[in-house]
Amino acid sequence: MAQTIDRRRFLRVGAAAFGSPFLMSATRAYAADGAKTTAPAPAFTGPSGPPVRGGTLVFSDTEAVASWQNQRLGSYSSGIVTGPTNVFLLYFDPYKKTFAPWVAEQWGKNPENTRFWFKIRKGITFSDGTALTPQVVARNYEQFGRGNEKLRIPVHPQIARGFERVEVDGDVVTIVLNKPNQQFLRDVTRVNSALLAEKTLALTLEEAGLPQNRIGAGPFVLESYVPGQGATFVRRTGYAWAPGGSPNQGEAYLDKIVWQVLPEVGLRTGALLSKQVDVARGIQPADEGTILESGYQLLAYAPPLGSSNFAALRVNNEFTKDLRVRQALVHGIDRVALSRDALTPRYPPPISILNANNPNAIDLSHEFAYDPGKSRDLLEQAGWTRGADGIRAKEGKKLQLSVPQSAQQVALGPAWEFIAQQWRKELGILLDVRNDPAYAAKANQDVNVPIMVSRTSIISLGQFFSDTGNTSLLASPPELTALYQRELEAEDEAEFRKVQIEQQKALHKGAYVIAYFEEAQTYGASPDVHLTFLAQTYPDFYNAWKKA
Amino acid sequence: MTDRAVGDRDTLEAAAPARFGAAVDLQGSGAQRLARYVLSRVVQAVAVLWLAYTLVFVAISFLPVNPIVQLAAGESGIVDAKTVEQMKLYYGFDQNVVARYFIQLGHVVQGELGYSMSTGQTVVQSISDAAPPTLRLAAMAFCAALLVTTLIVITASLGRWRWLREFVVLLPPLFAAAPVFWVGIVVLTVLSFRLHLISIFPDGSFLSILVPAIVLALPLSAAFSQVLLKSVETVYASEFIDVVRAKGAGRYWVFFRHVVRNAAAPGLTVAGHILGTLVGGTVVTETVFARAGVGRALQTAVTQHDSSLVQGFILIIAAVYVVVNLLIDLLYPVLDPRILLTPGAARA
Repeated sequence: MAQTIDRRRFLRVGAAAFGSPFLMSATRAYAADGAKTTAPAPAFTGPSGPPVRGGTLVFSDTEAVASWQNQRLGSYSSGIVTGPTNVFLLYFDPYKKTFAPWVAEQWGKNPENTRFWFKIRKGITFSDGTALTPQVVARNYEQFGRGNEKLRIPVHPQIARGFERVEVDGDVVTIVLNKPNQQFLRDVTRVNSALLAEKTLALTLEEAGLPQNRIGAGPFVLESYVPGQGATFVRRTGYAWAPGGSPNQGEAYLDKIVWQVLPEVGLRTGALLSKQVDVARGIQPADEGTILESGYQLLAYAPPLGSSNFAALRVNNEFTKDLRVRQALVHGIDRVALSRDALTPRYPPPISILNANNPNAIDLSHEFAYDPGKSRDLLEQAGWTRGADGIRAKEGKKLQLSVPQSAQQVALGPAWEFIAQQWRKELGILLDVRNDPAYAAKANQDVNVPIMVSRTSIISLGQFFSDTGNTSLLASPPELTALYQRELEAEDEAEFRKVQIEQQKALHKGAYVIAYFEEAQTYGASPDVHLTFLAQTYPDFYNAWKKA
Repeated sequence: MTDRAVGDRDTLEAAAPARFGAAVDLQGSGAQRLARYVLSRVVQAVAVLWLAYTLVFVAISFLPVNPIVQLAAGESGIVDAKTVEQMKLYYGFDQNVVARYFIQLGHVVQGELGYSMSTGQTVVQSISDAAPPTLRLAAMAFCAALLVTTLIVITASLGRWRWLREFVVLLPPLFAAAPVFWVGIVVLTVLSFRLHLISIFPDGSFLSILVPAIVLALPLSAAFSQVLLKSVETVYASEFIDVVRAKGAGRYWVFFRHVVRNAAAPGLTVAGHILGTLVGGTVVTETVFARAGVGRALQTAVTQHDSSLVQGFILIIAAVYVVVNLLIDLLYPVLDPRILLTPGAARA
């Protein structure tokens, strides 16, 4: 009866016992074809029941924000910290993916996308007590459209596209463009399109950038600010102009928001689990397991109108100007392994440069499927041959590339370390992963940096890759410029979708971009916190509440 | 440096009778010598400040990144050409580099450091916002470093047990080897996350500044202790200590009356460096402990190529170095009057 177990059998049984759970989880996480088509929806794990009023929410962010002036906002952190005091003409519902009234109770446009009118709601006031009138809205949009040379205020990068003038007729404000912009309505919901009081509009760029000078009409008011360290906001009493469709229509549920900068990534999870913060932004992939095991919420929120994480390949760079080299790089990444080994299921392989839950995204994953053999052939054809050290070189010059990083997306580091190893081993390419903010800044304008990383939550593919002065490609390839023109002129959403589909195809066909994982902003949150998100991935502090 | 200083002293001790005559001759012009000494140090200090400013200006000018384009680009992904031109005019980047240097230098001489391009504040305001928390942290870290150093040196010299003396001598290399960010994370993990004794964020409590100060002080005390231990060892090996001992002096008398006084000079020099380092070198501690301050502000300024703010900070940090070193230079003759007897003699 007794059965002896030899070494081989023991190993087989052991492997089966330990391997099955991993295999099962892997099978659950990845579709049969090896690539997921959608990012996991943020599982709502917070408290249920009716919202609780009161309490202070402590939120930790990754970076300080130097200037709070609208035209100087750009990073996720700047959107988060200015968000509580903001109101906009319209609200973009990230879940229904439709516009809702906010400061404008009605709105419309002409078929040519050159006239956009907004009927301004009555009774809204800024936190300094002044009224938010159609005239003030007009002044905000004048400043967006023209900038102000005397005050050194630059133009708004999106609103200024074709800006002609603003007309005020009673309660209606009309913005007139001299060339079409189909994206205008989305642009008015961007974080840098917040409406501010006249007092702020009269300030210079420098003065308007000081937090205490930013006067908004949002559900919170800035109470105190410590430069480089944090800010405290208090609930604004009397706030009664929430976006249409918002679950909350009165004052904010929370009494106070404490926004703190916690730059050291290794401390964020500890701060959360020791209950010193209620919500921590920028949870590194390695910490996700700890948060889930501790019964905390892990909220990975993917932008509904945004891009995946992408790397733009500079077409005027000495290495990446060659289409074959760009194609080799595109095919040289095993995105399934990247997501599985270096990241987590929160960051699945992409299907396109657009995030999978962007309604206009199409599955182009076959266009950039992992094929190291093809990559090697392309590099050989381009004249890059492997040397004795395994690194490719041409005419005595090694194929050595570099890529910057960004503190705004914590998954970039492990992802690019993985890619660097893969390119070194499989393709014979050296990649310097430069985790240095100064280098990232330099990369914005230096064509000698061949690869530029980015991700954005409301993307105009045309503006990002072909507009004059774009920092992604630092160039405007003609076929992309033509598509950008069509994007601006698109009469309706259906036409815009058609153009975005063509843009995705053109970007991948020309190997202008490497899409390498789906974008998600990952937050750790206390189980007592109810938190949802806005279209641009910012937390919706207005509708947030804490279990007593 | 230390060896040479003590060596000079030994030479002086040996040559004392011969030099004594010269010293007597010089008594009458002592005030003049002191004045000349002070003046030369002040001139040196001004030259150092000017050089520091000029070097930073040159370094920034050679950067491949145009700070104005950087400012205009931000993270929006778009650089507007008109905005760039407008900003160039405002920040003086429409001038050539030489003209810009002299214009800016002229402003600096008048006490105007210009505007920070990233924060929008005046540079003076940005610095005055960042300086107080750093100065508090630096002052406490300096005191902590001094305390730790004193304990190490006294225990290593007078410790009752040999194992204790040998153990404390091992501490400075250990403190120097442990990276500040690692020690900071470990300390926060234990004190804040496990024991809940301090907040992860600066909350104004005494502990919230004491803990980062101690973390910052450890590597500084390492440098301080190592120099002083070596200096003490060298003084103990001097012949005059044998003479003192032969006269029947006890170990405490020898240590506090003779060794400490003679070994202190190199420590004073190190103290100057430490103070300077503390003002500009707190970036890691400030980052780990989520504190605002000069280090973090300077790091952000460098990242954003905020040239006027970088220049302002460097100037202030250089000024701190210069003033502290000037004070130490002036203290040297008090500690060791023979410095005035040797024209051109440098301090240890």
